[in-house]
Amino acid sequence: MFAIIRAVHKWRQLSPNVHHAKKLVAFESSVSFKSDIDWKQSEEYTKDLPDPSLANPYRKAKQICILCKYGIEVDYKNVQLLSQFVSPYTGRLYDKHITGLCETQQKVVEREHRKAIRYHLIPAVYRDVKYHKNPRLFDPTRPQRPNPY
Amino acid sequence: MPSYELFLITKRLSKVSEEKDLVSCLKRTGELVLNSNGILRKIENMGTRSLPFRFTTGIPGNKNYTSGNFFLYHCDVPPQTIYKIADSIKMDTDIMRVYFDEKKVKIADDYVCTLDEELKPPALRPTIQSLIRQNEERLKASKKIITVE
Repeated sequence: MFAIIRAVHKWRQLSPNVHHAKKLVAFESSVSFKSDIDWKQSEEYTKDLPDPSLANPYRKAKQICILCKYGIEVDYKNVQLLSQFVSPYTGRLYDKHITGLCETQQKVVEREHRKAIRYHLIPAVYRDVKYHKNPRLFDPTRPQRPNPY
Repeated sequence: MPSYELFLITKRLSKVSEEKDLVSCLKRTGELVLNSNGILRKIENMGTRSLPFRFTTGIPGNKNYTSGNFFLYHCDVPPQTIYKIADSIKMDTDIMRVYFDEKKVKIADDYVCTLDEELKPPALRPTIQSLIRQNEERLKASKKIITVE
């Protein structure tokens, strides 16, 4: 069995014209291995390469929350600022996905809001009417997730 | 000594030159702070405001108050004496509410807003990636066979 296979193998080696794949003669003669390297090192090729040091001109600006962007310090005494993040119907703070604040800023606002309520500066169950016409920082009517209340 | 904000709500006392109730009330609280080895930096008047809800003082025979004078004392006091000062101010009949608030840095100066990372899909969020890594390490540790040599 093996003797037959060996014999066939030898016959294939010795008769190249019959059993080898036909070479793509035109391609192989024009682009040889050695000239490839020379082309890639040539100036003509390298001057058209992209410059990796340039930044992507289509990159999007990094999204920053509104309090971080303008460096606003949140305080329990600043009732007008706190009222902007509060529901006009229930007087409760909206969640992070509605206010659009980063996690640390949201926690600060929550803490200061609770302090302001405890110190009798802001009403706990409604938003003061005089702040109704303040500019809206977000749209609370179309939340991505339902409110917890 | 740490810095505090002493928050007071007093009754609407008269400023008439004969009675001078308000002035004497404020003087008393100032003296309390100074007598307990404190530094009074600033006395701020936050104005006469209507309270968000009516309340009485603890003293029997007092009516429901709907408005008051809000004052803020910026002071440096040893931390143990806060409670003593607050207790003695609560005994004062003219003062309705007392709160101490320590002045703290809410957000560090070198904080960079992380909103961009929080808005990414969960697989790319750094907080969740760290959780995944923690879990992998936990599994690796549990698979190790501890041999006693």
